[in-house]
Amino acid sequence: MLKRNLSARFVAIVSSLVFLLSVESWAQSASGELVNTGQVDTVRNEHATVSLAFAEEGGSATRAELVLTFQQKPHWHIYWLNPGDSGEEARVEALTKGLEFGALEFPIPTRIPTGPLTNFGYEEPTVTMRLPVQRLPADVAVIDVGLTYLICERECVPEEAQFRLRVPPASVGGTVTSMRLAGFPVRTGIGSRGEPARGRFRYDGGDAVFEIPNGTSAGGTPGVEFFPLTTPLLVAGDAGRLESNILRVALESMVLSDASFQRPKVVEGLLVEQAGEGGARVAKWVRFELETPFDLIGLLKSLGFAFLGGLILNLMPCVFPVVSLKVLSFVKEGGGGAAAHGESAGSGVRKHAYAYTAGIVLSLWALVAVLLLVRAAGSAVGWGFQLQSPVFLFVLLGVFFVLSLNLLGVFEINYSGPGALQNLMMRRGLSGSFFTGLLTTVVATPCSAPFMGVAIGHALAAGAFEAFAVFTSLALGLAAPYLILGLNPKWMRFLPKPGAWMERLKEILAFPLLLTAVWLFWVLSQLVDVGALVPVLAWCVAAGFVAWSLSDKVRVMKSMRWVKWLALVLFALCTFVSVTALQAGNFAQSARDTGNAGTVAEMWKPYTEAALQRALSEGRSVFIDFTASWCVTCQVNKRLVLSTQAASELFEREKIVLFRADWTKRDSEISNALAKLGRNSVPVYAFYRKGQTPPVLLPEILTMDILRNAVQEASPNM
Amino acid sequence: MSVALRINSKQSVFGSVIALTAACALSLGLFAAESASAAAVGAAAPDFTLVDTTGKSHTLSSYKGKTVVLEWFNKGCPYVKKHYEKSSNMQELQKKYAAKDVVWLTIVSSATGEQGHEAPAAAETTRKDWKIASAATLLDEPGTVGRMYDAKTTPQMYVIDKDGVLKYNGAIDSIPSTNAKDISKAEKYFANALDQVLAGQAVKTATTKPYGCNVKYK
Repeated sequence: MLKRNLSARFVAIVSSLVFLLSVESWAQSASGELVNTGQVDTVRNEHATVSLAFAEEGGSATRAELVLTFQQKPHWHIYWLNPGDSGEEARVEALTKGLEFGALEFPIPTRIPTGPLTNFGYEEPTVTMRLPVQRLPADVAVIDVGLTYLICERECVPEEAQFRLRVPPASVGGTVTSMRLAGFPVRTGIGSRGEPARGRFRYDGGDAVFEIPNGTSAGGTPGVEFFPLTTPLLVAGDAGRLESNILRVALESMVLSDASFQRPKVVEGLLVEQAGEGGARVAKWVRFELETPFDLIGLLKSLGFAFLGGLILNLMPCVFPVVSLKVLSFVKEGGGGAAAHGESAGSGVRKHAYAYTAGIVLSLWALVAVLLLVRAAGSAVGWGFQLQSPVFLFVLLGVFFVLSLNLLGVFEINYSGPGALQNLMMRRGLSGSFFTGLLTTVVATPCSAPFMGVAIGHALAAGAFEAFAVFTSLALGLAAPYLILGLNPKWMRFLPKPGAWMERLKEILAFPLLLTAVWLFWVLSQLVDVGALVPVLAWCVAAGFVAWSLSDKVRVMKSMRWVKWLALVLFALCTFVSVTALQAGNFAQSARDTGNAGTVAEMWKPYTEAALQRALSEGRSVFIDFTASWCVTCQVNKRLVLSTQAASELFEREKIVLFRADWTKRDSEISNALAKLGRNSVPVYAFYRKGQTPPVLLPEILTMDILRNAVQEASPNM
Repeated sequence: MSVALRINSKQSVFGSVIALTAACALSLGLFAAESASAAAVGAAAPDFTLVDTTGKSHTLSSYKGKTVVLEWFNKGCPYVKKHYEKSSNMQELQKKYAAKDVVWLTIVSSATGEQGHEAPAAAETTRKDWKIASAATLLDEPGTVGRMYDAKTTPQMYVIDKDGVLKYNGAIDSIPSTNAKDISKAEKYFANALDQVLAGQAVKTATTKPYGCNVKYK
């Protein structure tokens, strides 16, 4: 069974829906046993003997990892990812075509003082690093790996080594998803798989003051030490002074004295804690964000953007069928009758509009609350994050399927039936309107409308208050058309009169809902193995069986009563099997591999921070498509703009390096990249003009013209 | 006095706070020990006098009116070799800016017995062998000037403008490696800053993290 990290489950019960989110937590690691496969290559350099070995966890064939071991001569040392005042970290390079590595994972460093300077590195005789294999083509039997590193005593020697390893037979085959093992702090940002904890910091005179996040330090142990990755900023020799849960670290004089220096807003680093005297050292990655003073203008702007985004969201493909139904129910409630019944019908509409709005607001609040909780637990998540959970997708798919059966008239439940699954969408009660609002939120999550990205990004970067305010504004925008009708019931006369056409329209609307179900199924297929998809399809059949058994013509026959019970048992069984299969995960191929078929797709390389930095350092123009299978807007943009011949030609002509950052599954590297751009949702389209940062961000809804203008503007030959 | 002037010239609140902090740090340093006043970008570069490989004395303040480059050097350091031996990047820069009337001072702060430490005669030979085209190689055996400038690595580069104000402190370029192939790919932090100073413009990136071997202080 696959559990990449400890899964923290958040169960949020929103009306009759159960959201099951399996969220990866950075703090824990699955401790697995490393099994040496016997594939080792050793290189003897002057001051160290270095070996690279193929290892697998617990003999699992599909998750391979390389282990790099340095045997150093006494007094010699190599460096951590940030070497400190001087020095350089070890770097590896995949020399075999198609082979891709994650970031090299370094063990916990120590401070090595040299005169007035301090380095971060390793003086112990044996240093082990881990190298996750992200991609290993099936036809590769032997891999070549290059290594460069700096090793120093008083003096420094740059070294190089090349390794050749046979791939253990069982490991061959497609993408390798690597697992992190115990004892290794994992950082994010440069291609690693862990999630950093989040904290806040501020500048205070000559110091940076870090608030250690809860649960990171066990009650202010004096042995807490900070190793920053963000440079230049902090004095390397200053491990930090702990005052209750606050760690104070001096700023480097070169930074302090330069008034023009742009002080970073995010400081990432490793918090290392000594568990008692001579105890084991425990390390955690923390991403500290600068405390920002309350920004009223920024908040107002975000509120405006959120409202506008919410309004436009009504027209997005995932929301439209549901709101169409709402319009129908409005017509039924009061539209045609408004003139006849006068004020009373108007007040009814008003109540329904309020109930609908309340449904949207409360469900969005619930969503923000869950999102903030998950983030507080240290995960990098954003808008649409619940669609990264297979179980949630399944629930959503089920809702859409059953709803469409209902609209098609397969089953109708008499309104007086207590507690049964009601025809909620068309239900006359206020709870029906409330439920529709809720459902609108649920189906809206995969959609991202223009303006929304900016607002949500800003809201989540700020505090909880801002997040709630912005999401409330978004909710009001989403509800606005009905809210306005509710406040001005007289406008209802612009709506068509109710009649038999409503029944037909209702049936027709079942088809977009079914299509939505198909689309959700496709998203699900990106996340799990085929084996887990079959129970989902079987569940649909069982749901259809239940619906049929509840239909009027079957229900009235006394002799058929047992059918209902059989159907319900089958339904329960299928539900259980589906949820179990989906939770077991069996994550199929890496999300980064999906959707990359065909010649057009070959131009797009999977996004990694390292690859981006490489391209930027070469002064190349870079375009990044932050996307996800569950993001409809992304898929529409991809089909209509990015994957077209015209776009391909444009990219080719302008010699643009193309990256696709696929966020279908939780991916902390991509989450961090989005956070750096101030975003928290997809789509995001970032264009780096000839290696220049920061990039230009394109609108959420692309057209060929927008793309051309953004990209060609940069070109000197235009 | 210059400190007070600096505060007045800063109009933005944030700038003033930073300037005030810097000023406090600076004045504290001045009171503590005059010789130990630290180098600060945007402030007057601390003055020093060092002897070069031929026995000639060089005083920083005597070069007022000219742009001065300080380059920390250690002939045994692979990062220095990257820019001198594996490429001739450093010599070319030295020639290029000498033609623009820049005074380029190469400084060795290696302590006796440490890597890169050379007696004056040997250091002079190194200048010839390596075709070093700077104005002079200054010997800072006790590391006083290195510490004054908080020089951490070799190479590390400083740019001082005509008025004696420190304008750049940091790396020669953006790619920390010993591979000479990276030189052309890197962002030229130091050369860009020097060009901006020579053109009378504000330096865009005035502080960067230097890379290389640590300066071999005592």
